[in-house]
Amino acid sequence: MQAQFGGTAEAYVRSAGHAGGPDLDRLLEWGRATGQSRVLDVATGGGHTALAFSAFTPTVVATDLTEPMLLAARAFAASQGMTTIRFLGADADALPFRDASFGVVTCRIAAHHFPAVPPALRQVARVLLPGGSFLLQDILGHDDPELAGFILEVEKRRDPSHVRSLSRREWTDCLTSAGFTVIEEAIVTKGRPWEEWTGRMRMSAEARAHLDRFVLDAPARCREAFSFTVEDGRIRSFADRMVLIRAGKG
Amino acid sequence: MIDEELRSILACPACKGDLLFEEARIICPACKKAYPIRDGIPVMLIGEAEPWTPAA
Repeated sequence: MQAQFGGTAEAYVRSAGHAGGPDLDRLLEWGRATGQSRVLDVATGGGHTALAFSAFTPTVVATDLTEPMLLAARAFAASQGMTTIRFLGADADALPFRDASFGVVTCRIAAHHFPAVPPALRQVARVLLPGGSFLLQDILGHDDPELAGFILEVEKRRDPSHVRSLSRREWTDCLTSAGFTVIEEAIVTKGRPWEEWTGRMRMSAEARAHLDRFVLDAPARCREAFSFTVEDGRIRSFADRMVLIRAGKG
Repeated sequence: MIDEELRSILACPACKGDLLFEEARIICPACKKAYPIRDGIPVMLIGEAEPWTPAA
């Protein structure tokens, strides 16, 4: 994980898919409704979510497992004129905070990298204030085994640190077990330009060619399920479905 | 520099106990571990902590 992200930190900061869009807007809308709470952004990556929340929240703490990512995120925030976000190295499984320290915890497009989701959710529940909100966004997993297997293979070939995307039902089960109540949910489709998406992970030309072949040779229903567009035998784009969840503690 | 607000919410990632704050590191006296501060970023990762012994 740390090896994977150490070299790609800058690419994550520049990533259009992470920088914003209707998905981040929805999280911000939910966040604004909670008022001036102290916010924790877990697995901040390029820092886009922390930066967006810092526009209306006085205290934002952002954690990530990877130091190069934290440095890149801090530099990016500073370049946008924001120098008050507190960046910390921390593992989502072992958050270095007292119980009930935050009114809002966010975790955006990151949980699919976690070795296991339940321990991280227990930590989030622990550091949230009673009545606090957990705002989650992640790539939505499929209940259909063939489609789930196809997209997992695509993700892992591009990024070996991709562990697994949970389905909506799995998220509800995990959140409930960790003591959360799901309050609102939304599904947002996010278009992925293929060149940008595969380029961000600095794949070798050979690995990229194998990935393209894998996608082109897959059953048509797999490509259709993720809206792959192919022109003249070349993949142009596909679409991820993102699940957004606002969960309350208790 | 770890500001007052951050100090008030930080805890040891392992035992969640109270911490001692120094210029270049953050110490958990209970675990006898010191977490480094690198480039101004506290690295509160259990795997990055170094053994710490209290001054006699």
